[in-house]
Amino acid sequence: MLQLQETINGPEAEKFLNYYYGKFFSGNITLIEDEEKVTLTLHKGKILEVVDGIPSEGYDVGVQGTKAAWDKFCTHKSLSVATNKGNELNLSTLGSPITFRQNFNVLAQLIRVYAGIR
Amino acid sequence: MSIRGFYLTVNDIKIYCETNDGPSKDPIICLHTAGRDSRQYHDMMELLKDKYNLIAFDMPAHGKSWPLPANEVVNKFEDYGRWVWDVCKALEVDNPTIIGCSMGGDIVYHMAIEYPVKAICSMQGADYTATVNDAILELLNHPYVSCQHSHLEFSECLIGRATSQERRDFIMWGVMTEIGKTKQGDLTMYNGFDVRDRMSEITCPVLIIQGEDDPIATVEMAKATASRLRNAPVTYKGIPEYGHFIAVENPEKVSEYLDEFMQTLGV
Repeated sequence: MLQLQETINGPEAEKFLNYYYGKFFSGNITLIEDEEKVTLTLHKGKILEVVDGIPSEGYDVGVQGTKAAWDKFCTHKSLSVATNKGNELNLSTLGSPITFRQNFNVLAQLIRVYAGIR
Repeated sequence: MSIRGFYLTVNDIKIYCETNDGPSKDPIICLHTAGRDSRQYHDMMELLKDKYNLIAFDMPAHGKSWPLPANEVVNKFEDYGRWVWDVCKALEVDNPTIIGCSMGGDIVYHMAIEYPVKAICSMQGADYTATVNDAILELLNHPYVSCQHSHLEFSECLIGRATSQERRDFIMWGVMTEIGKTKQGDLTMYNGFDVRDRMSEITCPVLIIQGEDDPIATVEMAKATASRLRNAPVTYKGIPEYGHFIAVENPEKVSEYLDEFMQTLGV
């Protein structure tokens, strides 16, 4: 996850901040794979810290799934595909539906980058 | 550029049409994807202008067509079918070949079941497409969620890996120009599209063109659909490495396959 932080804040920053609107995102993104839970705290699209566990104040947005679901995600790297109800082995979403949709691009791009280094 | 635009008034609604004024007697009627408009057929119109008369129109509430009264939109495939047929009648086309992509690729199957069409071509269509989550549908038209931004990755993931940047940009421009209420109506229609138990009623020639790099309207869905076309002559053409917006992504190959198909019809 530290490599994800370095990548999002570094070489992927321009695309993440501007094309995927990361510059408007401040809050927590939680990623869960089986029993492993990690929360990234962002301010205006920059990852400030990465901590184990879920936010004590509750989820802002996030994604969870089994190892098999994440393995499948890594083959297509699309959150739209991974949450499409016609598909199997999907990821599931965390946070309120409105907040999730408002920040869909941010999350989609963040886990796409994660898939590249996972 | 040899594309001409014009308006028809159909059921008291102004419908915007485009044509290449090609030489064939019977036009090919072209249906666009969800939320978009007839511009998706510009490249095909150019490529086929010396052979076929293509007419594409913006569905009600899309592009430069007017919405239904009180700014309502269409959200049922049966209603879209009536609109397509009423446009054909207004164009004085009795026996059309109808082609469509995605939502349009679904509707052509309904047209072949319910209306006396000459032939159909379904691109990225299927006879059953219940794939969109209800939460996404509801939030396509919500004051706190931007349809254009929240749905950007959905279109992006559908574009094939071999598609040129210029064509990719036009597809993504399409997302940025969508109307939330219209898109919601279209995907509601798409999600409710199920004509599996009527596919054996189709007897006209069917061309299926499938951009194979499409993770949502998949090759498996297209082939399952083809397997239920028991009483129609079916031609299947897969296009590897291109995706969901196949008429935009690879109009050269689509035009080539459509030309071959039209020649088998004697057009």
